[in-house]
Amino acid sequence: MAVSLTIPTPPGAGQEVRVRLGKVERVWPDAATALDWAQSQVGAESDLLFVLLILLAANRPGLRGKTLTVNLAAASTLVGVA
Amino acid sequence: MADFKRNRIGAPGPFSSSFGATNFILNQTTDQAEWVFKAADAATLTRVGFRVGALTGTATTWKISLQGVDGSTGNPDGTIKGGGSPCSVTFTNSGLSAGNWFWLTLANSYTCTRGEDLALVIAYDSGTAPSAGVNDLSPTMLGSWTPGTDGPYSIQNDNGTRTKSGGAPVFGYGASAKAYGYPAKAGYGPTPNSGSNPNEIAARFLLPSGWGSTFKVAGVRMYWTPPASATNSFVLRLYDGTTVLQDVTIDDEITPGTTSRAAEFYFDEATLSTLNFGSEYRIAIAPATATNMTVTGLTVDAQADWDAYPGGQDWYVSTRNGGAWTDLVTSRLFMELILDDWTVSGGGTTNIFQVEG
Repeated sequence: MAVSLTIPTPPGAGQEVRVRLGKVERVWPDAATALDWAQSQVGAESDLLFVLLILLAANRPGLRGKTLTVNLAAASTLVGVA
Repeated sequence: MADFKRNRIGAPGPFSSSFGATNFILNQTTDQAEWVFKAADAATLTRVGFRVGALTGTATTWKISLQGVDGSTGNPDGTIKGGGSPCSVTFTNSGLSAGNWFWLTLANSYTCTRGEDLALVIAYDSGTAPSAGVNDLSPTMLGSWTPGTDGPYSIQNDNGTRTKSGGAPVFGYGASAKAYGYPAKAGYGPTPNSGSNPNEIAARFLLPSGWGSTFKVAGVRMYWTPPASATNSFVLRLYDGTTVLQDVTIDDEITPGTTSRAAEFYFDEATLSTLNFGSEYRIAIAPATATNMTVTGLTVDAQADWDAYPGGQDWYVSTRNGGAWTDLVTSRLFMELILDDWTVSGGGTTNIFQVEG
């Protein structure tokens, strides 16, 4: 099963951050709030893919705005980046 | 006097972070957005509500309904309350808008008992089948401002596959004059500094006169993002109108950074002010430097929606830049009072009469 995950592009101050995973979308009022939420979830029972996406976007500028395709059935094999 | 033992009052429920919406897209005829809860009160329910995260098109007709709960699974049981007079209503995306809260009036009311297991369900009803990006609806299932909770809870029903979610569910149900659930429109997160307008953000509160005679406020617990440097202090003030009753400067104890957190701050007066039940007061945060700090809270669609939260409509935000307060009655801070004293009776004189026989 392939799932498309879009890395959020950190917007400017005061702009929303939207992270979509399949049919579920999470929305934060700004980048600082999104990152703050992700950091608070580490170690907690939570949606780790959302956390990883946000932390990835914060630390890998080259991936911002990109879409990763991950094959969840094959040990989360990264299929492509576009 | 009665020692209130540092009990706290005033927060709109438990809090651990600022508001962040989780939306679930209904883009198939077999998708459903579901919330399961125990009725907070015995009431005649006439309306239900939800927050729109996103939406596309207007050709699909949806149905929102009150249903029972399957005791073996915790899922909606698929039976709309009311029998031949169903407690439901159909609607389209016309008149709805993303990021806003909507109350819908049920075609038929339902009288529930306190603690009754109920489910609120949004499902496809008729018309053009939902399709992502063409005709779809994404209700906000939950907000991220509390730790995970199991009662009430939301369920993302994706073509029959249900995923139960932790976090404070965003939904509402109500009698004609009182709201229940967790109606929420948006987060409230001002970033004041000493030069901004406003430069004071306050929690306005009133403890009803029937609760007692007098009380004292020792401090607050609040959710905030501190300023970037420990040299950026702020002043916490207790106001009666625009008169300062208590204040304390918070500086060295600040741990600077960009991560939001909960914090407790206490006033440093040797003798706390005696406050009266039935009177209005404000606890204000006033940054002392030009560096922003962030305080967090919640915004609802209408002041009456606060009836669903602890404290009801007696708690909301006030702001000012000197001068008179401006009330923002649909917003409320994630702040609670730490009370030092709660006195029930103000005392009195006992008169003794002897009846002559």
